[in-house]
Amino acid sequence: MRADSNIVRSLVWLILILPAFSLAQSGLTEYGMSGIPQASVQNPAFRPHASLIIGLPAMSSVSAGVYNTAFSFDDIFVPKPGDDSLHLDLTRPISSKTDINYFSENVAIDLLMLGFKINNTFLTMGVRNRLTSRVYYTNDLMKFVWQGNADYVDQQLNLTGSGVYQEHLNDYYLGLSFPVTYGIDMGVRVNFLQGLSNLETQTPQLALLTRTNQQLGYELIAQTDFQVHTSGLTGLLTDSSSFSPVDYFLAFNNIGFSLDVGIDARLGDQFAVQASVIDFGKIYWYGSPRTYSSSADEVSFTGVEYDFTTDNENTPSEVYLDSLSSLLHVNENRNIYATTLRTKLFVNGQYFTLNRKNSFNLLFAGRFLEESFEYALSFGYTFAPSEKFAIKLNYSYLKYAPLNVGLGFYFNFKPFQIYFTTDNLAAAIKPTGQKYMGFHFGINILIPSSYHNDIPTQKQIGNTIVEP
Amino acid sequence: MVAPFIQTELTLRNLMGVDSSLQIGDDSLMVFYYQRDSILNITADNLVEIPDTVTSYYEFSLGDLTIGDIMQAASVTLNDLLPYVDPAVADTLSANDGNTTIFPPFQLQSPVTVDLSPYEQYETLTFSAGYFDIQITNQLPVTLTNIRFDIMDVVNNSVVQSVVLEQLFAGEVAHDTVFLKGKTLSNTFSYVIHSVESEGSYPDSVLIDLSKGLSLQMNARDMYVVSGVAKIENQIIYSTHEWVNLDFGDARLWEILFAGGELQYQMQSYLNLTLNILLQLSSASVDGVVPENNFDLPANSFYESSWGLANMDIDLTRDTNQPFNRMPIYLELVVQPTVNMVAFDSSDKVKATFVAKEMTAESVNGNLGKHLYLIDEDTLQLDLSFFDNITGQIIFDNPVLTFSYQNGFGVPIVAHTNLYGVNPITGDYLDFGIDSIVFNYPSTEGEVISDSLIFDKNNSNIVDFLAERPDKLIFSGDYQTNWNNDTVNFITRTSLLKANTEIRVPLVFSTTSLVFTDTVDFLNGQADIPVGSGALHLNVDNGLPFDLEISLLVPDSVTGEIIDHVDFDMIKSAVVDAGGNVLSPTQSDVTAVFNQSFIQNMSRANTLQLRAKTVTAEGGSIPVGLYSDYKLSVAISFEAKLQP
Repeated sequence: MRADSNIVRSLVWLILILPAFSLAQSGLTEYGMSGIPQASVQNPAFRPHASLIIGLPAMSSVSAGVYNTAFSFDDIFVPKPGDDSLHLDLTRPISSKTDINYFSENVAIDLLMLGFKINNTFLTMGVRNRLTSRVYYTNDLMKFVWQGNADYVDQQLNLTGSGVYQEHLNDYYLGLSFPVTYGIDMGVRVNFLQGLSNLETQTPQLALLTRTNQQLGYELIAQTDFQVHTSGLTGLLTDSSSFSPVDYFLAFNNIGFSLDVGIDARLGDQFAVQASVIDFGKIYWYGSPRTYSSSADEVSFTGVEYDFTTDNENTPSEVYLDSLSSLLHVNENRNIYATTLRTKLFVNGQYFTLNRKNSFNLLFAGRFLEESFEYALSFGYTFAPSEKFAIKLNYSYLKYAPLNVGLGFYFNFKPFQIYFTTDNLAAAIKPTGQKYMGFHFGINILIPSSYHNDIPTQKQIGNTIVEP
Repeated sequence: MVAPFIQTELTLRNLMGVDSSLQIGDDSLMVFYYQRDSILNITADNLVEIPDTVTSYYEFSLGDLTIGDIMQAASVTLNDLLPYVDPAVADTLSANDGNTTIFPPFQLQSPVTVDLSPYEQYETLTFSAGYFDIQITNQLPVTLTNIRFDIMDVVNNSVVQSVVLEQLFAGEVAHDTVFLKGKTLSNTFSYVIHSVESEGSYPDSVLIDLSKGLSLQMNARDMYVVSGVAKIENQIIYSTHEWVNLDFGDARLWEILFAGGELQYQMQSYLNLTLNILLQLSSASVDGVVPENNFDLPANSFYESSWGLANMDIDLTRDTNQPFNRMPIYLELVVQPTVNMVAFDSSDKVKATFVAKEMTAESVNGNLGKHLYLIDEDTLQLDLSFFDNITGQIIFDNPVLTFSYQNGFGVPIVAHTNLYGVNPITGDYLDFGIDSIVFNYPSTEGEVISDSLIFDKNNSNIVDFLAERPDKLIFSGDYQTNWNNDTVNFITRTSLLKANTEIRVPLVFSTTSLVFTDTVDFLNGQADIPVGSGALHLNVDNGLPFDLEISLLVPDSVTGEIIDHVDFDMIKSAVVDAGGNVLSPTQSDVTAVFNQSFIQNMSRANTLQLRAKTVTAEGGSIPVGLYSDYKLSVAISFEAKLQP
């Protein structure tokens, strides 16, 4: 049993920590750090302070992040009394007052990235590999997993809303940042999306009732209205030995488009406002689509009939398991379907000190999820003493992880730039206690723009415009 | 986790299994039924031994033959005597021939021989009996005296008889008899008159006729000869019954109807005479006809023939000395008359051989005698496999063993039987308690008696017997015929005494401790069961007339030893009436709790044993019947603490 718990713990750690190589879309600290070229991912209006940017393949932007609304690693792996070993204990998560929680993780890697300045316009292009997944689980589902149904006889366990969402794609983008007028920059980025794989579940009605039955003891009644879309996973799920990464990554069956727009407006010398809408788009899944849905809205299980007095081909346990497995009839179709990207919204207000070396920002970030809108608030302080270096401290509030102190910095040492941001610095110290973690780092080849042709002729360090 | 598991319904029929020895009555009561045909099978050849071949030899001697009477007359006239008397007398007589005068006295001075013609019927004979009757008639008119003459066998030159007559008056006839027994005579005789005298007729005158004299007549009669050479006339030399003794062992048969076989006979003549032979099976008949054969057996010849015995009905009682097992054959041997002289001897023989073979009987009657025959031991395998999973003592309420038979033998038979069972566990022998069986038998031939004997708890040990659950019955013993000294027996070829046995055990019983055990292939080799502890809940609708204490036993898959178990609470019996019949089922909710140790032990087992200990209703005091439609409905649900 100890070996099993270790395996479970490792898996949880990997799930929670492995994506800690980066955190992409939820880079609250990074927002507004336009000295980092990759900041434009969150607002295409952001222009780096460079005339040329070359992202080192697979090194220019590596990000990952996790967010679990219900619990951290330490919340579920607790030490045994009198023993220094850890054991899984889901007591705390199931006592959550929230009916439904989720666990999400994101991974993004820039495969190619190029940006360059043409007059006042900055053009960026590249290929970014993005993996996003979320697992929704209801509180009742946790109770069922942890405690079973014995304590919930004659009570319905609501599993509606539980599901898995996964999206893996290559984003081929072309962005443009250009001044609209003095002090106002706009950015547009069009993204051609190559869908690699997708898994999307819908559970409009999922519940389990264990009911006492005078004659039969117990009766299991499950409401089973669900639908699962998959694409690109058939080979992996059916025969992993035949899975070909080359075929997987070079398949262009699934096509989508998205649009990112942003605006960066300076209000006077000390204030600036930025807003952006990211991932407004859709992907059409043509490649091996499979849609599985339940054929019945409700199934009931009262055990199996078994005759002990005759020669049976199967044992009672085999009959029982076969009956359970055949209880749920799943319809399958291969219709094409489409998914919409989870659009993000950012609104940031920034205040600069007169010397422009210090700035404060207040960010509202939101994301349209499957059934909800999730938001975060972030407050940051940036110190950018020169165009070669900037550091930012940030506090982020997320509904289920309210205390997040983030850190971001970049160093420009011509021609290279290294940068690092994290929304939760404590994750580096005690990752197991965090619900929200994310990192983003990379190395760029950055040729700073020595000659700024923007109006007026000013030197801009970070977001600070300074006198030459 | 809690979940419904298995719903199962056990009827008593299913619990007992599909078993050809279990029958369901119209009222659904289950009955154990066992039948064995021909537990005892007696055929005709068991009781009667028909010999395959019987050979009889007979010799018939010619014996004394009869010769027909022969008469021969001769006379000696005065004229014939004249040469032998005094010449003067001779002259006187000659001169007075035809005259009436005084007959002069005379006497012979020398013997006179009168030769007779030879008998034509024979040449020589040796007599065993017979007579020559001699008649002498004095034809002279004077009295003759001192008549002495010999009858001479001329060939053998022997005196056959000497006759002396003192006096023979004129016209008187004298007789004499020669006894022929023991004499061997030729066929040529003569009279030699040694003396004849007469004192004349003086003073009377008589007619003197020289053609008159002594008349001699010899009649041979009632002759029986033992040998000789003669012409033989037609005569029966043998007419009698001979007996073929049929050996039927100790049986004394009075009548037999053959189904097959053959009676061969051969006749070998060593006679110089032709015989006409009549052979007759005088007490036999074939379709109402007496078998016989009439044939000639030439001199010194051989003859053979046969009779088929099929459908031949023979009375074997004709011999008063032995009025059974004896087949008479009537033989009549008749010598055919010969034209010529034939040499013969009474010791000449005719040999007869009778061979009866391949005899099979269609029916017999008689008295078979009082005999004891062994019954070959027979083992009857009782298929009580439906009880294989049930241990404990069962007291059946009304088991019955029926011994039915059909008897076509007109023979009183009693069987002394040993019927016992063998306890499969202890090997003890269990006596059923049947000592003897008297078979009724038909009183008329062709009748077949069907009857049966019933052995139940009142006249046998069947209840105790079955309580030990023998897996086999051993039947042996012997049977005795004519045990009651009844002497009238009849058997046909197809007669049969065939006995069958049938055991009917209605499954009505009481018990205070009966254990059902069944093995469930539950896990099928699954090694790890991710359950730490839990419980099994049973919702039971008990329609069986038993209280049930159920246990789940875990046997080690290698040793079979029980390494763990869980016990359920008592399941109450269905409600029964005073007769043990179920009125209504009883509902029970029972639980058995198992711990992690039990689960671990289950991992060491391939199967689970379900053991149900039962007590029939009212603490085992009321016999209850097992009706096939009684059922036990169980819904099993489980509660398990998973331990991945």
